[in-house]
Amino acid sequence: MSDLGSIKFGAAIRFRYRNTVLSGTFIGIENGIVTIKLANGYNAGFLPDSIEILEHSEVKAERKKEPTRKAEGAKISILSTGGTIASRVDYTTGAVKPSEDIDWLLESAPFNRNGSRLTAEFRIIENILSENMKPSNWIAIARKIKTDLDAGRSVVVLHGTDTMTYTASAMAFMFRSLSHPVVFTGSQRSSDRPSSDSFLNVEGAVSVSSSNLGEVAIAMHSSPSDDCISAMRAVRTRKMHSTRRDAFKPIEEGPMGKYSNGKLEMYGEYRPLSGESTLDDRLEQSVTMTYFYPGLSAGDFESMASGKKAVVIMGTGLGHIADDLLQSIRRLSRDGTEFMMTSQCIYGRVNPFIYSTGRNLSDAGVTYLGDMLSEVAYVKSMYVLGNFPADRFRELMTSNLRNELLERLKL
Amino acid sequence: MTGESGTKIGLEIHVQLNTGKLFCRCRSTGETHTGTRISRRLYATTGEMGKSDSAVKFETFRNRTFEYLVTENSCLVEADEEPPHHIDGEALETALVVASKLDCILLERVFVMRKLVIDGSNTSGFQRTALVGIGGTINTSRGPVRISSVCLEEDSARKTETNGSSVQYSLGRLGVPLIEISTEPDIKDEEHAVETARAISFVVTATGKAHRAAEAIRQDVNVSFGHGRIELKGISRISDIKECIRAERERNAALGSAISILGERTGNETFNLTLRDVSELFRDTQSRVLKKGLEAGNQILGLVLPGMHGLLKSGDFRLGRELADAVKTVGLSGLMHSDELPGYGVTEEEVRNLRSMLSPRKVDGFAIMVARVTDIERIRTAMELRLAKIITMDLAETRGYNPEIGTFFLRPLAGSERMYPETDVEAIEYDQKHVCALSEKLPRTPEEASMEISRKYGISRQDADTIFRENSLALLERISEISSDSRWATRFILQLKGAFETKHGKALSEDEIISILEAVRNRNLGRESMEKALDLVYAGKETPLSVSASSSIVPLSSQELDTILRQILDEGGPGSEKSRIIASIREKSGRPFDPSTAMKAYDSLKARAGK
Repeated sequence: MSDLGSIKFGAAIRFRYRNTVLSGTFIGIENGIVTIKLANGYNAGFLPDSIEILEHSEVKAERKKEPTRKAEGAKISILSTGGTIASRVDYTTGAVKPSEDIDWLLESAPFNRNGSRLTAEFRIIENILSENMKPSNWIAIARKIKTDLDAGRSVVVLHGTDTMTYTASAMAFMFRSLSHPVVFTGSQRSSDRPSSDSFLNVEGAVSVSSSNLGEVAIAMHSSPSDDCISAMRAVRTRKMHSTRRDAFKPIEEGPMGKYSNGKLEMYGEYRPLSGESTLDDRLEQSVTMTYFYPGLSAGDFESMASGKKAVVIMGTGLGHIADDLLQSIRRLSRDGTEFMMTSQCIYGRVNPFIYSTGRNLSDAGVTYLGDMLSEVAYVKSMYVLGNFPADRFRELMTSNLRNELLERLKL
Repeated sequence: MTGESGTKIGLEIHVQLNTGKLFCRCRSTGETHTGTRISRRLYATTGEMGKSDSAVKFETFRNRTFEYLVTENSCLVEADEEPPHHIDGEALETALVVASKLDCILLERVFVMRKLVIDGSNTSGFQRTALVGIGGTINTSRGPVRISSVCLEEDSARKTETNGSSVQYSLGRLGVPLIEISTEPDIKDEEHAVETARAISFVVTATGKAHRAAEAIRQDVNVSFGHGRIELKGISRISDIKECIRAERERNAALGSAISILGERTGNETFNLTLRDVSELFRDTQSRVLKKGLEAGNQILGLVLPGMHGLLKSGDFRLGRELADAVKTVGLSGLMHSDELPGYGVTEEEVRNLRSMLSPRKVDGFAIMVARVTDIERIRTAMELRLAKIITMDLAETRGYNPEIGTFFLRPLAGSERMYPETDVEAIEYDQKHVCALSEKLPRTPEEASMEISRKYGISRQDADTIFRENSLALLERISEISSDSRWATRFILQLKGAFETKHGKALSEDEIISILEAVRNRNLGRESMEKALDLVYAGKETPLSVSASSSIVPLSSQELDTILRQILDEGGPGSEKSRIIASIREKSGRPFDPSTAMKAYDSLKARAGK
């Protein structure tokens, strides 16, 4: 055992196991099992007491790579925030973790193949899985994007897919205008896999970042095939599958453009770039979002909602919740909490005028948000509360600020 | 441990299992295409130790796109759109039992690894594989052969089409469990290789979990004749093992002599090849290959092959084939060289013109090929790399085998660099005692196996023997269970199935047969109806789905039987004679019935008529 403790990851070892001498590479000890990569390349697990170490080599600590790279005259900045796209296998724990180094990703991307090279500045601005993103991270990311935009570069943000819609929507609201495109991309298959979607996603995002798109976009696979990337409006886009490459879908509208066979075609209606980038970098964080379900008690509802400046309720169908929660809404509204209604259906709008439940909720002060996506409503209310006077809240929430609301839903 | 001077032979036996797929809950069979296709690219990544593998680099150089046909028996896992589910317990148990039976050391935990394979045969770009045992032995008449490892892995997707730099695969086979058993190079010669392969296959077949399809057992043969290890891949017939070893030995020997002649002529220094566009010489060519190529917008490229006159294809020399293998790796269909020209519709005059354009020396050969001028660099690199390798007699690589043409280049040997952990599956713990107990119960010899089958199913030793040898045990088990009649199941497998196939010139898959039998059983109908249903489907009158609803499979009631018999007797003639009566009923009704009941009814009708 004392032997084992001193052996480092990557050391060549020779050991005895059940009267057989084996050799391999030491990987590590976890949960009471010693993992050794055998000479044939396979990992094998052994109980520590069952092996006798005969010899092992010493391993020098590797020098860490410089995680950032500056490129003179680059027109694009690629900012990594972590997530699957910037993740690699951690061989000591066997898990996939954000990586410190993204050079390999760009080295492998197809645009660096045929002699041509992308000139881009890479920076790691965060290194977290997207479920750990907080509104405070959004503000930090927005400020970093602003620096690049002001330096005349478009920005591609590498982000975990789970909460990409939230971060990208936050950027969409916080940037009142954009001088260069801001494009988010990520990956559904980690970049250490030969089949990873990262390479094409990055290539597509880089291409979209060269367009005249003045809205924040999400660029991801259009289908399970590696042949097309959709440029989707951040405030209308949602992750609709836990694992597929084409998980991101624009809801109730088409993509604003497509990148395929090395060509970008933009055809949707979108706001073009403007002369400068304007950032409103404040977000009111006292906002919550609650999902109604049969049996949700007034007590549980209030414990989420009380004391908040605004509450997004994801109601059923046209925007309903049980009658017994009306009292809570009336009371909390009187204390100054704003309530908003979106639909759990994801597709379609809420409407308070079809059933009495809706009318009662509307009378109690609930603002109905049409077909706005719940996640977008949550981010938007933080933005509106953070940057505008309180008495304009309802007016701004129901106005179309960034194409987050659709007037016409097409068949 | 080596046989004839410098010869080393080892085997890798792959046996498909008939359990469900290894990492999803799809069936192993049922490869019908749904019509959905997806297209993908694969990108080289580095292995666990940060080094990348030569086979992987080679594929990146090829720059191909892959198309996958989605099948009924595939899901998001095969499409690489979902992580693997937990491992199939039955497949894992079978692999462990086999390892134990081969006296392997079983490892405490089973780790699933990713073996990088970026030729497109795996959508993920890697094959999932797990080492379950090491250091075993198998006894043969010429001494023990050491088993280096027993692994459980996923089978790859089946290649259905290659079209230049695009390759098409079907997802049906992807993920089917495969036991891989590798031996040390202890095998003495070709005969011994065949014996060893048989002995190893027996151990897997004895579990009753081996798949029965034609290509369910595939062998890789590792040979070395002193010039590096050559892996001969995917030999599906055990008897081909002998031939492919012989073919590769001859190739090694012929290359040896060719290279020494080439050395005398050129000094075997680095070859610098120059390809040039010679299309103008072939504007009016009658060669179909060249003409078609030009019409498709390609060019004809030509080059001098220094010192290779007479070594490309004459006597035993086949350097031409080595070079053709090289250009195929960059998407060309092959080349034509001076030892075979004029030929392929290329005229003497065209050859003369080509000669004067390329101006080779007397000892030089030359070649032409259909390609694009823009591909010259890639073609040149591929050919130069190939030559650099063979002039040093470094023959180590992965090759295929085809009885018609011998062995052919597939790709560089893959190293252990291409392995890293499958992080989506946790290390698996299992009960070693349980595995050892199961392996103790397995038959030790084919005789023991058939004796056990004979006893368990109450069938003759001879039938049991055939069932075992043809690996039909799993089918027997399923049909016996459905029909509750293992003798009938045996008769179906050994006689009826073949008779139906011959009669109607059509084969049904095992899954189709099982589904027909189950549907008939679910209507509470017996084996006469089962036979009738199968007959209707084989004849193409019904489909496996429609047949169970057919009224033609319902047996005649005794009343109906009586009515038909009366009709036959009334009509009289030879058809009403006792010896022909069964055939007559069959002809008249077209429905199943129990012949002994029919005979009894006939006798009693006759008796009554006699009174």
